[in-house]
Amino acid sequence: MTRIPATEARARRLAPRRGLGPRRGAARRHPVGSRRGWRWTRRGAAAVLGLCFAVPFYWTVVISLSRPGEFASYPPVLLPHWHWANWSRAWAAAPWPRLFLNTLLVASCTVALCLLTSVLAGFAFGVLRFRGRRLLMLLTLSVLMMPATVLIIPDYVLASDIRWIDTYWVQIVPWGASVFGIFLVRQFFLTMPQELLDAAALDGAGRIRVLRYVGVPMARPALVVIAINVFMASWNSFLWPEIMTRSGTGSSTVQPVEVGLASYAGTDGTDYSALAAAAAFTTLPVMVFFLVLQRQFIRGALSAAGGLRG
Amino acid sequence: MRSRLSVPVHRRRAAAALAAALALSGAAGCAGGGAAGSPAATGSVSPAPAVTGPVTITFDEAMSSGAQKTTLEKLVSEFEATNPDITVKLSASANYGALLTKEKAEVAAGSAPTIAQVYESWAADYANSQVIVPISALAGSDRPAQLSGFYAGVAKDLYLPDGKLWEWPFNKSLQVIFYNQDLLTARGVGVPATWDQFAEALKKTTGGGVTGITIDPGGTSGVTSGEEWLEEMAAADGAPVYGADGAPRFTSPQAVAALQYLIDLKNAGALATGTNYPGETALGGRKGLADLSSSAGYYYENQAVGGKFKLTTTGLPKGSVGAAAMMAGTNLVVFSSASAQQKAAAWTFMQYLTTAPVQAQWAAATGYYPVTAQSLTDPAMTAYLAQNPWVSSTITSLDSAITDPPYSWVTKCGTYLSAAIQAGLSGTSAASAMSTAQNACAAAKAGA
Repeated sequence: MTRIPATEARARRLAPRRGLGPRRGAARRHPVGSRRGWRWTRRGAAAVLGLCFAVPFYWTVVISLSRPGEFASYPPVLLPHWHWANWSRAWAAAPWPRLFLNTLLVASCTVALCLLTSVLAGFAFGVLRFRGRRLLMLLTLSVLMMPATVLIIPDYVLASDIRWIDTYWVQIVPWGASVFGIFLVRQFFLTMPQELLDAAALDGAGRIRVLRYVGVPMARPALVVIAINVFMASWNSFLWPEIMTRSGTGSSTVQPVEVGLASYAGTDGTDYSALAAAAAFTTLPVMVFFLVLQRQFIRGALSAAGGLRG
Repeated sequence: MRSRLSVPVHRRRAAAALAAALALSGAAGCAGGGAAGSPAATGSVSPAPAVTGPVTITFDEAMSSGAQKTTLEKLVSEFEATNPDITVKLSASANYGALLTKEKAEVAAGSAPTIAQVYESWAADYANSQVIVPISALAGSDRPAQLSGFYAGVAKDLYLPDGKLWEWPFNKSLQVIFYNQDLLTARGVGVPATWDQFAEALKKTTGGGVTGITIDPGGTSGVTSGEEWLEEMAAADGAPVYGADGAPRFTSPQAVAALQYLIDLKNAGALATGTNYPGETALGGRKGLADLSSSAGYYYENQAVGGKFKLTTTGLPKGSVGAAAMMAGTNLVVFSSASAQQKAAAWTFMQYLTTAPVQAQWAAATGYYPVTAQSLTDPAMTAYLAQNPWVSSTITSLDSAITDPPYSWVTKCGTYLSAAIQAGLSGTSAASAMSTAQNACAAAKAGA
């Protein structure tokens, strides 16, 4: 495969815009007014899409800073009233920094473990040839038919037997293999040209080396999808940690943010203002993190999708 | 309840464990020898020994938010200060559904808490499986001295059908109705005294963006005020939806009429449905006239209203034979896996929770009712009562409040009633919806 030098690729991309290169039929298909209209349409659509994501968070912040009773007002209060008492009340109710770090640790470790198991199992099911491969794959897929909640009590018994209740292990290891991830990687390897792997093998690479230097780079788009899905699922996980961990108010708790947030939806009502405040200050670090590193995220996603190479 | 995309591959092992757990559970059920445990399971009537050294007890509860959480933590701190040998470890669940799952899981794993909050039907299940001990085994009597001070309905609620005292009260409340008094006044409507007047009031105040009442019909996640409303109306007309033996009577004319009442309100546009305490939000947003909820919801109702209008709270309207308010809230049980010292400490703690000053403190902060009338004269309670006269006028209903009979299938039957309400409000006839629920509940009873 011939790789285009970065400077040349950049020149090719920029040339039509600067009028330095041929652009066949561009003028005929897109007159100036039409191009401008299309540009504004795209910008408008992007703005609407952006609002769809921004408004819920803005609304959460408004409710978190509302005075008593304003969260249920109609017409709704659209501007924050800077009633910080909700924030201080929510902040004092739980060890939030600890819960946040717990969530981050559990989600990150789960993603790492899931990627490892998905790559290994997906490679085995998609590339290696061995007896019972199809049956094993079907058995793995059959796990999808069993709702997680049905097994939570026997799972608890197992976790209790190995003394994993109220630990990070019980929140990470059982979710460290994803059937969805295994299936996705397997499908990716099934559609990959076998010649690429054979070529590496002919050069003397063993299976692990083939996987490491050929399989994993090629499967990067699938791995990004798995990582995002697993991370989100882990971040949003509620019932599993709720049952498998014990509540604690000290620095020793291993519970995640979601369990802390759920405590505001009590048995006789919901404390919306405090819930919104807690949701806001646990979401803010993630948003800031994304905004600071958004260029890297987007480049990584595009790269994984096979578009640009950084 | 949220699901996760990834599924653990260890579930094949877990499936085997499930089978084993079911087999064990079945064996336990057989050994129990019928509903609510055999007399042989009730143990000695000698009181628990005194606490002789440092001991820690675990308490599974669902008081995880707002004033409930902070007040319980405060009470525990005060208890530990006066009982330095006893440490109480609270383990809060977000709601009763999660609490039940956690309790069952802990029992199955052999790591049950020392004490836990339970509904009556859970207690029946636990007693049947012999995983809890009767209170008489701790108190040395089926009628401990403190019991006589409790409201009659509260005391009666602590016994299972075998006649033994298995539970101890903790957080008790009654269904009440919260009104937007300004709206009532503006529409020239008085506070309804009967269910018929209540329907009229809802219809009169509906319109202009206001829907009389919004309810959560309930579902598999647990009992809600919508389902309890139906039970209360049937009972107020003289036909509770369960017999004393727990047999469903969902197809009685009164029960069907109760569902028809809700359907008529829906058809008139005076009833809407939602989830997660929708009536509270609608009332607070001036989009509803009334909210039917537990008195313990007072803290949250006030938060939603925030002084925007005058909030009036009353007991439930009357039916043809009187008013029938459901007693909500839970009791406490002690698990048999606890050590003798833990049981003794648990009994000390449970007695402390039901003393008049503690109940006064608890009630004034949370909106639950004190379980004993002696609390009403406590200084912590008198100021609260002065601000909330509705408590004084409704609390005596604790003597006659209705409760679901303590049988294991009743929890499941509540979800069938919820399904009937949802079906009725979606167009199924009341008779047909209640008949379906009746059959499902009868099957659950037969399979118990």
